Amino acid sequence: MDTPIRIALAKGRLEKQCRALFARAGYDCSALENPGRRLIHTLPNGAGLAPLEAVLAKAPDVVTYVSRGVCGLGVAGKDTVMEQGGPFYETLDLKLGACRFALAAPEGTVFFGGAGHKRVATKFPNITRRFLSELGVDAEIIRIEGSCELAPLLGLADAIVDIVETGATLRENGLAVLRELFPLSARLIVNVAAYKLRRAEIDRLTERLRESLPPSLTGENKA
Amino acid sequence: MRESIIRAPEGTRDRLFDECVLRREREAGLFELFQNRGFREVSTPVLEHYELFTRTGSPLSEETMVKVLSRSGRICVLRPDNTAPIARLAATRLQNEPLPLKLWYAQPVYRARDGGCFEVPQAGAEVIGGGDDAELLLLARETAAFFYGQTPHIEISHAGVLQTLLERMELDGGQTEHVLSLIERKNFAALGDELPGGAQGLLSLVSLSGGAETLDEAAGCAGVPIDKPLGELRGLLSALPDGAVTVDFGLVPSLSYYTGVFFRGYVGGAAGAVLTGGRYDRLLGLLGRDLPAVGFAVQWE
Repeated sequence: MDTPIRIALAKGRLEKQCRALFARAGYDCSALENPGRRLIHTLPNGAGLAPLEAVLAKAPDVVTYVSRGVCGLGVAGKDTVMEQGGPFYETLDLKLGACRFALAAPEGTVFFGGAGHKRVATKFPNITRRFLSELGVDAEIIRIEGSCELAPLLGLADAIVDIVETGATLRENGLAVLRELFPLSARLIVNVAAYKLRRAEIDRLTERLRESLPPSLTGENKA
Repeated sequence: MRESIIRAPEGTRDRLFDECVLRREREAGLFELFQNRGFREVSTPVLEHYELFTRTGSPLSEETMVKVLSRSGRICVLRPDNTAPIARLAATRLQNEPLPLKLWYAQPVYRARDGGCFEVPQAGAEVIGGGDDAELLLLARETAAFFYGQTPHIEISHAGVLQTLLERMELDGGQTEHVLSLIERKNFAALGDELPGGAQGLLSLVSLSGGAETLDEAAGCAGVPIDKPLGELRGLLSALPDGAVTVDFGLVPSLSYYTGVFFRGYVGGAAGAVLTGGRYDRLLGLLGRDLPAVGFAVQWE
């Protein structure tokens, strides 16, 4: 019998929904609910699948673990997956934590056009660089670790690129969406070598997760 | 003390004692493996002209190459790949040697990554002016097993298959690149959403993998004639022991480089493919000597 496949799950925003999804797929996720000091948890499956070994990690670390092959599978938001990129497969849209990337600025800002130099604050410099170049905007990108909304208020940046769920935080701070970039949701990512070596097992798990997606959301995969 | 004096440049490192012993043992093992099969060792310079790679369809992107300027102002790179330099050798200094040329090497390549220059040990072989794909693939498997202590899982496909399907779809360069990157990441959901109508053949094809039966399924769903590449794959499969390789039509070749059968090998615990290889019948022609060729490289991470 092979050792269990190891999966890295992103902590935070997606954690609860992700646990619910794996529970619907038959995994006993109780170890994840009260992790205590343990870092690696076994998730037995009562519905015919092999157990998984799970670690909870910050989203960027999920991508690193999977890229480097220390975890065969991972669940992280499309935002982190795109920002970091890397040699892994992205096999399933888990439709969890749906939100979108947007370019936002204080109400009334003229961002496009004009000769001035623009500054954009973001937690996602790679995605922002790519997106702005597609729009033909030449801007300086300022990397921020948290609360991008603050940057225009402080005069650090003219606009921000950030994840927007409801838009409430933006409105409260007098910011408005200038351009919606693309929709985001959690993805199942798979290490290339792990997939090649244990394809049947990973395909079964992927299929089971697909069947376990909340029915109300399954039709909603486009912007 | 200044850091630039007492630290080796980013990505490089010193090797001490046991590591040196291990390297010598590994080289001795490789020497025996290749020489016993009639391959002769070559070694090429650590510096090469940048254009040797950029003008010959190299799959390496320019930002992964470590560049330096020669005294005459030409752009050079630290050897980013072993095949093009060996092809250059075959097209020039080895013109009077009998064919096929059976050459092997064990020398590192250098890659720019995360602001550093990383040395990646590599060993491999090239057969130029002939060569039997099955024999080379088995040698590749043995080389990877020698390096990693486990038989790699090898997947094969044929560059002509995707080439033919993509040509039929008449995509522009950017679209082709995008479609290939989705296939490469097995992002079939996005592929299904984004492909123009009539491209269902491609979608079913790139999900196919398995044994010889996969070839018949591929012929059925491609929607365009791909008999020639399938015939070559069939020939290769029949020359290999049962179960030695898996066919996977989701493998994405560098289409500017590979012209026929190509393969990748995987071992547990490694991030990606540790073995890459295939037939590259165009490269030698671009260097002025039109000869078919097939080769492989195993890299040590």
